[in-house]
Amino acid sequence: MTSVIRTHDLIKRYRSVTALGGVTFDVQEGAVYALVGQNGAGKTTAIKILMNLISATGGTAEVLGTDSRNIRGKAYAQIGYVSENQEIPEWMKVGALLDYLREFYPTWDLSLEHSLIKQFDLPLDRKIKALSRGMKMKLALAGALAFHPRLIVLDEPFGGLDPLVRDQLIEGLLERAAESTIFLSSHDLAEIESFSSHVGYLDSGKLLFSEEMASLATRFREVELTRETDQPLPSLWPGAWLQLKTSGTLVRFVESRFDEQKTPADIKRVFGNVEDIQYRPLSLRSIFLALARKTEEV
Amino acid sequence: MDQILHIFKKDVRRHWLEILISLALLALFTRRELHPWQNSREASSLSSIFLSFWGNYITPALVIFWALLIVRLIQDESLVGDRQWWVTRPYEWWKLLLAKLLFFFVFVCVPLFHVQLFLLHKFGFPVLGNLRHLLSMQLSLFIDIFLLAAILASLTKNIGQALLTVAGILVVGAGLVWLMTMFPHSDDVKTPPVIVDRLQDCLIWGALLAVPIIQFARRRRWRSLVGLAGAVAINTLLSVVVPSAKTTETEYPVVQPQQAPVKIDIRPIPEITHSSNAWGWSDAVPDIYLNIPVSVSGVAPRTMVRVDLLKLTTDSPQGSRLSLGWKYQSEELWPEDQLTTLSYIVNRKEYEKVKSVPMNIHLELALSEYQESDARILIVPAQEFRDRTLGICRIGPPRSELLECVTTFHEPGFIAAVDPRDFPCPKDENDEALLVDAISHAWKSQDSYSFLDSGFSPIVNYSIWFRSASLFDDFEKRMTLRRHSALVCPGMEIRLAQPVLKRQQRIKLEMSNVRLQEIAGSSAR
Repeated sequence: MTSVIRTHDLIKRYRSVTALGGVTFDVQEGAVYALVGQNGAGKTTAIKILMNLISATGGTAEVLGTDSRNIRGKAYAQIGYVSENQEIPEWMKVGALLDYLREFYPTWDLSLEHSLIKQFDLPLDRKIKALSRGMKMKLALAGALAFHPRLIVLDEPFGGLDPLVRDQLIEGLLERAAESTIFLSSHDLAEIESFSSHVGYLDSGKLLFSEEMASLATRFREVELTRETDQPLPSLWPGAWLQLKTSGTLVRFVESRFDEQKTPADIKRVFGNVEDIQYRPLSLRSIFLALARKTEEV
Repeated sequence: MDQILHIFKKDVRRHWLEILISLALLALFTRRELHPWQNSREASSLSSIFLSFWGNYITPALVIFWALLIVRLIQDESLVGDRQWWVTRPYEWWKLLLAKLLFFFVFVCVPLFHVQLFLLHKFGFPVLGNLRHLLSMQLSLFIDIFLLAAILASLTKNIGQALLTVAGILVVGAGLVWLMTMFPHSDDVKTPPVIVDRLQDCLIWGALLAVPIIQFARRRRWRSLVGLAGAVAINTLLSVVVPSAKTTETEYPVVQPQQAPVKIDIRPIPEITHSSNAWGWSDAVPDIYLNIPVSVSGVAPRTMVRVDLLKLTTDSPQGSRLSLGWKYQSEELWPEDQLTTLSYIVNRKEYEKVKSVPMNIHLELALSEYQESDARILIVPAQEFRDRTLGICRIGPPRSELLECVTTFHEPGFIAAVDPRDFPCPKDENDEALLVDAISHAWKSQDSYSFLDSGFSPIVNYSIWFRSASLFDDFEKRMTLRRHSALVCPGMEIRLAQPVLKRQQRIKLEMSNVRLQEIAGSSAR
């Protein structure tokens, strides 16, 4: 597998504010990579550096094998970029914009364009400024998909959209997932959980982790156990245990490095003999909440 | 090329209304240029009445409209910020730039070029012979309109920001002018050594060309702004630091008064100067003119001497001193003996400090001597006439003191003289004896024009007045005369020649024991 996006120690500072503090990640070809984090975590900054819209203060970034500082002109013939903040020429009509875009891309697929128009129910003769926000996003996505891009980059594509439009966009996106690498940012975990293959969690400019969804789901477990006594908790426990809480003899925590052998052994070492240990898988949302709270505690 | 045309077509669709308006303004411009002598008295039709009143606003309106069109055109693909849609599409920056240039070429340059050809043809001036000037004018158009508008557009996000920037520049400019009035005037003459001049040209041209190119290629607004500001700052610094007086003094070598092309003597300070001083002037007047009365003689026949520059330095036994460098004069001295006044502007504050102190005044005059060449007699026809030097001319409105002429690109250089005593114009009952009756001259230097022809029309209109040297300093006679220039009438013979610069020299004059208040006035005389 080859890397479609690769960053190393990426830093972006705005005077005294550090928007990105040394971010390193790798997006493999064919992946659907979701960069998640709270508002202001640095997701859009990272994407803007990748798209050469702003320059990094330090570190390196490569997109499709090219230094991101050199991403311009023809390089965009392989990248479909959609952002909620982009200023589309609103004086144009929908059909005119697609006609205009078509000429820029040698790989533009007219039948795919027609099918996207149909799928997204785009009104060709309406001016873009008269479109709703959801319609504008659908138009932007149609324009970004119709040329079979190798890489699709989406910055908060679903923010503020109603569920129906969001599902339409995701559906349109997933149909392209086989031929493209998708890199998207979102602060809404539920919307990306269903289709992302990889996830990176950005918090205050720091990437807390970047890994496959399957591995994430495997290594996070909610653990619930009952101790024999309600003695105070020992002062030391493994750092991978998050949100440790007790209620009488009942103990609950999130294990962030679950291992079928090691986790029970750690529990026995910390609590001694325990009864009724339950390991429950966590939703992505619960994982991030646990991680976010851990960061807040720190 | 495909991408260039593709963007161009999009721009045409976007700006079709503005294109139509600019073409309509250009049509009005053409209509006005076809009638350079039209004034409200001669206007007959509705359109000519409109043009006689609003004609002067058409060219500025056209220029402003073109500039706005270019700004909007470039800002369609804004070069500022990181939210532009086009930036993440496979645009190639140089094709985008060329598409904008193509638009400018097709909808500004080509229509204007056709208008220029049409005007030359209509006035009967040769087209091929003027082609170099036309192309030079187009290059000037590119620099004055496209380049400046492109710089503004490429550094601002939208038309509102662009207009605010222009307003800001105007306010800063006005502030600087105001600030300059707060300080004593220094040298008027800003002629740095050639090498510094070239360096300044390179700096400014480099910055003007680099900014839009950098913005199109890399969109680095702050770097562009810093580069532009740096070029302006270095240029200003060079203007301030590099002494220009030396250049003037090299161009005009000092000669003894007897070797000069003219004999200039300081006259006793006339009573009229005292009285003008006695009238007093408003305290608000920031500048004071020192009026130095001189008598002029010894200018060779068929020659004209111009006082180009004047430098005044004073000193006194008490140590009071005033030295403000070279100031422009453009005083014409003709072969007839004459009395005239040289005026030198000084800052009021500086003047107030030393005005009543008896001082020695040292004057330096930079002189240019022009000689007639290719002289001939032109008999003025009653009707419109064509002359190889002057262009197409006519006597102005009935009983006129002027010849109205049109020519191509630049006013021609000439030395002309008439003697109303030889060819008196018929008098009417209003003239009585109040007409100029001495030999009168008109003059225009053969300016060394810059490489580029500026402006938009190939047709230039200008007027020629004939003035008598005897009136230059005769205040009382001037007050009694109804007309201050000689009348021009059909049949009058004009001696017309080309001015050739023969030499440039500098002479020094002295005035002793003078109080500045004795020669001061609130305006030039």
